[in-house]
Amino acid sequence: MEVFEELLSSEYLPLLFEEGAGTLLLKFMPFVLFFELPLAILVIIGVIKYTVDRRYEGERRPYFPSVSCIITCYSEGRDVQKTIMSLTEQIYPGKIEMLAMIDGAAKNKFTYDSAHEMSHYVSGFENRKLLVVPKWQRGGRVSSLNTGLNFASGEIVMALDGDTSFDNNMVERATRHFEDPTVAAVSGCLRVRNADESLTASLQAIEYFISIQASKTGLSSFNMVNNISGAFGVFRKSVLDLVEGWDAGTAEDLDLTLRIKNYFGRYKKKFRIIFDPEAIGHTDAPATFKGFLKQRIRWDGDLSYLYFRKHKRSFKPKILGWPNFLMIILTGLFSQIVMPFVIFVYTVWLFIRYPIEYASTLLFLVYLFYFFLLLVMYLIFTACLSERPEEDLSRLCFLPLMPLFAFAARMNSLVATVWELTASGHKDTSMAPWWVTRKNKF
Amino acid sequence: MKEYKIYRILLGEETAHSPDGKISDFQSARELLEKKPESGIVLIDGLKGKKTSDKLKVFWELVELRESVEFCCAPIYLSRTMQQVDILVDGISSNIEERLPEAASILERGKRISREKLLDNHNLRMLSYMYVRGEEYSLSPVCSPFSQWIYSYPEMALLLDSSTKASKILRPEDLSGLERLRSFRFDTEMIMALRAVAFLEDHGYITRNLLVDRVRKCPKCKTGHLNYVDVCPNCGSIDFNKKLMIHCFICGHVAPDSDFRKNMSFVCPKCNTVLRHLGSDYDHPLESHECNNCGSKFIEPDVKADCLFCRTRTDPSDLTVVNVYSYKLSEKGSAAVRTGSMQMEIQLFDGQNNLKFSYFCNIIEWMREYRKRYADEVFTLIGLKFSNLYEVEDLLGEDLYKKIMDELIFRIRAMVRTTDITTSSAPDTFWILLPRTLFDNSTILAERIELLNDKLEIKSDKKIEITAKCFQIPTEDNEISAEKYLELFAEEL
Repeated sequence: MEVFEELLSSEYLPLLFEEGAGTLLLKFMPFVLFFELPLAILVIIGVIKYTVDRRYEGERRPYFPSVSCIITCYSEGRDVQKTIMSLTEQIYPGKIEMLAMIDGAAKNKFTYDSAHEMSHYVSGFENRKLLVVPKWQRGGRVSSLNTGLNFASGEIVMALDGDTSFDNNMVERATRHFEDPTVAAVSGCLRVRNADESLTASLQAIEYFISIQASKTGLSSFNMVNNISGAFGVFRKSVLDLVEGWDAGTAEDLDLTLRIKNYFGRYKKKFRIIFDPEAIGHTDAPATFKGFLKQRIRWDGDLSYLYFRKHKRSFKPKILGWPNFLMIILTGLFSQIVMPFVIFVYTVWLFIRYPIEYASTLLFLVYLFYFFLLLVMYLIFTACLSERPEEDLSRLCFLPLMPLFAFAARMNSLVATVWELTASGHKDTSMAPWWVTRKNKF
Repeated sequence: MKEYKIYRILLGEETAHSPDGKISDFQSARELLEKKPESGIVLIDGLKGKKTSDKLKVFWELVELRESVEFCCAPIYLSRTMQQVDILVDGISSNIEERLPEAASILERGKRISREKLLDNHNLRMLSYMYVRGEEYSLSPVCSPFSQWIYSYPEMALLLDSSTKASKILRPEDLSGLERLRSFRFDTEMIMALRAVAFLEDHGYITRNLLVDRVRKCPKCKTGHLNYVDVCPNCGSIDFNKKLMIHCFICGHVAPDSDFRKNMSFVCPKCNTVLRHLGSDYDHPLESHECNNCGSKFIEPDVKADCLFCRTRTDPSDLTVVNVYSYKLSEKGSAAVRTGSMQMEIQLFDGQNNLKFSYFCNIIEWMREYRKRYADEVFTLIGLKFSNLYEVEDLLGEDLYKKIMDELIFRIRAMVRTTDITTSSAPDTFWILLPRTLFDNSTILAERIELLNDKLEIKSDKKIEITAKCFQIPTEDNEISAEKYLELFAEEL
C-alpha cells in the first residue's frame, strides 16, 4: 500500500497529465488501443449477447445422442475415480460410455487399479458403461486419444483428462448444440478445482474465469472460438473420423482445432465450434508459482511451435476464412506470441527513454487501467455468467494482484517462445515420451 | 478264451466293419431276437451317424436289444460315433476284434446270471448290467438342460420293465423324437430311471462313486428350472426401482433424487440451491429402492427362486438340494446278482419274543420233545410271506409304501399274543409260534392276517400280497429237523 501512496503522491503524476490526454493515450497505445480494449469490448458485448440468448433458450428438446468419453489417464491415481464418478453421475438420459485409457499402465498400476475399482459402481447405473483400457507401454496423450477413438461407439466423442471432474449437467449442456448439424465441436469450460489451495491457484482460478469462461463465451457469440480445450473437448464423431483423429506431437488440442478449421475452410462448408460456459469441468491447477510457470512454458512453447512450424502453410485466410484468420492472428499469434515481445520491448524502451520515476508512474497508471478494466469485466461476467457467483466473488480480493500475475505470465511466455524458436523446445514436452516425439515428422 | 458269437445289425449300406466268417448279419434287432440266439456280442453298423435320423434308428435298435432278456446286459458296440447315443453302448469300434477281450469278460461274468430271474425285474437287470461290466464300471448321470429332471441315468431308462415304460420311448417314425433324442428327453422313462436308481441306492445295492453335480430344485414340483429374481421384501413385486438418495451439503436435506430433479439439474427442494458437482455440492448417502407396486422403500431387495414350471416362489434356502452322483455296484448288489434275488428287509416283529431263526428252531425242537411227553400240549406255526414288496414300493413311491407297511406291521403285531414267539427265515418270510393253540384256532388268525389288506385305512391302487398259512410239525418223525420243516413250509407260502 505504501508503494501505492508513494506513486500517487509522485511529482510525476501531474506531469503526466500536463502533456495532454493525447500524449498519454499514445504512451498506452501499444497495449490498449489497438488490442486489449477492443478485445475486451468485443468479449463484453459477446457475453451480454450470450446471456440474453441463454435466457430465451427454451426447453431442452428430446435429443440425447450417445456419448463416448475418452479419459486420458497417466498418473492421476485416485483422482481418476472422481472423473469417472462425475461422468456416471451426469443427469443425462442417453448413453454415456467411459473409456479410461491408462497410458503406461505397467508403471501406473495404481491409476489402472483405481479405474478398475469403479467398474462395479458404474454397472449399478443405467446407460453408463466403463471400459478401462490399459496401454502397458507409454505412448503419450495422442496415442491414448486415437486408441480410445477406436473403441468409441458414441455419436459424440469427448476428449477428457483423468484429473478433471465434471458438473452433473455437463454432458447435457455439451451435447445439446450438436442438434445443429453445422456444429462440429464444442469446447468445454474449465474451472480450477483446487482454487483454495494456494494464492497461485486462486489467481489461476480468476484467470481461467476471465480467459476461458468469459472470453470464450464472448467470442463464441460471434463464432470466433479458436481453440478446443485439450483437457475438455467435445466432438462430433463423424468430424473426428474425417480428420482422422489426433496427430502425433504436442498441443494436439490446438492442432486438431486448426485441422478442423482447415478441413471446413478447404471445402467451404459452414461449420461452427461452440463454447458452452455451462459445460463445466474442474481441473487441478499447479499450486506453486514455479509449477505454474513451468506449465505455461510448455503450453506457450507448444503454441508457437504450431503457428510457426507445423501450420505455417495453411495459415491463409483463404483456407481459414477471414474472421477466423483475423481471430487467430489477434488472439493466438498476436496476443500470445507477439504481445509478450511488444510489452517487453516497450517496458525496456520506457525505462531507457524516461527517468525511472516517470517510467514507474506510467507503468503504475497502466496497472491501474488494467485493474479497473479487469474489475469491471469480472463484475459483469460474474453477474452474467457465473454459475457459482458467491465463490467467484469471494476471490475479488485477489483481483489487484492479477495485472502483475498476468505480466509475469507474459514474460514467462516470452521465454517460452524464444526457447521454442531457438531450441525446438516442444520436443521436451512431458506429454509424450521422447521415443514418440523423436519419430514425429514435424 | 471261449469264442463268442458276434451279431452285426446292419442298418444301411455304409459299413465301417469288413465282414469275416465269425460275424452273422441281421437287418434289425427284431430279426436277431426272433432267432432266439445264444448270448453274444452285438455290433451296430451301416449308418454314418451324420443325420439325427441315423442316431434315432440306432437308438431304437438299442431300446429293443436292452428290453430283451438275452441282450439286456450284453456287450453292444457301435461302428461309428452317434454322439449322444454313445453313452448307451460299451464302445465305438470299427474293428470289433480289438474289443473282443473286453466283450468276452462281460459275457463271461454274465454266465452266472439266470435269465428267468431278470424277467420283469428291472432293478435286478440294472444290477446285472453293472455287475457284468466289472468293478470299474460306474453308472453315470447325463445332463439334459431343457428337461425337467436335468440329470438322469439313460442306461437305467433303457432297462426299465416294459410295463413301466408303457412303450413311451420313441419310435423311429416319431419325428418329434429327433429333437427329444438330442437331450434324452423321454421324460417318463428318465424320471422312472431316477427313481429306480434312488431305490437301489436306498437299499444299499449301489454306492455313491463321484459327486458329479449339485442342483437345486423346486420343492413342490421337483424341477430345476428356477428363475432367481430380486423382489420387494414387502409385497414381493418385481417391479421396483433403484432410488438414489441425495444429501445436500448446503442445508443437509436428504431425499430421493427424484425430489431434487428439476429439468436437467438437481435443485435442493429445501434450500433451492442448484447442486452441480458430486462430492462438493452433494453426495449419495445410501442407495435405496422403491416398490412401484406397494410404494414401500427398502435398502436391499429379497432374492427368491421362481419355479418356471409350477410358478411356486421359494426362498433360495428352502429349495430342495439334490446331489447328483455316479454309482458303483455294492457288495450287496453284487450278491443280489449272483443269487438272483433282491430281498426286502422289513422288521415285522421286535421285542423279547422275536428270536433269531436258530433259537426259534431250537424252541420248536424243545416243544416237540415236550409234546411227546404231554400229548395235550399242542402248538401251531403260522408262516407269513409278503410277496410283492418291490413292486408295490416302486409303484406307490417310498412314502406311501412306508405308511402302508407301518400300518400293516402295527396291526399284525396287535394280533400276536405276549406268549407267542416270532422269527424270520428270509427278509420277506416270518414265523409265529403259537403255544397251546389248536390248528383250527390258528387258521382263524391266519385268515384274519390275509384279509388285513382290505381293512387298511390307507387306500392305494396296489396292494401288498400277504400269504399266511398254518402248519403243524408232526411229532412222530424225529428224522427231519425243525429247520428242514420250516424250509418245506416256506415253499408252500
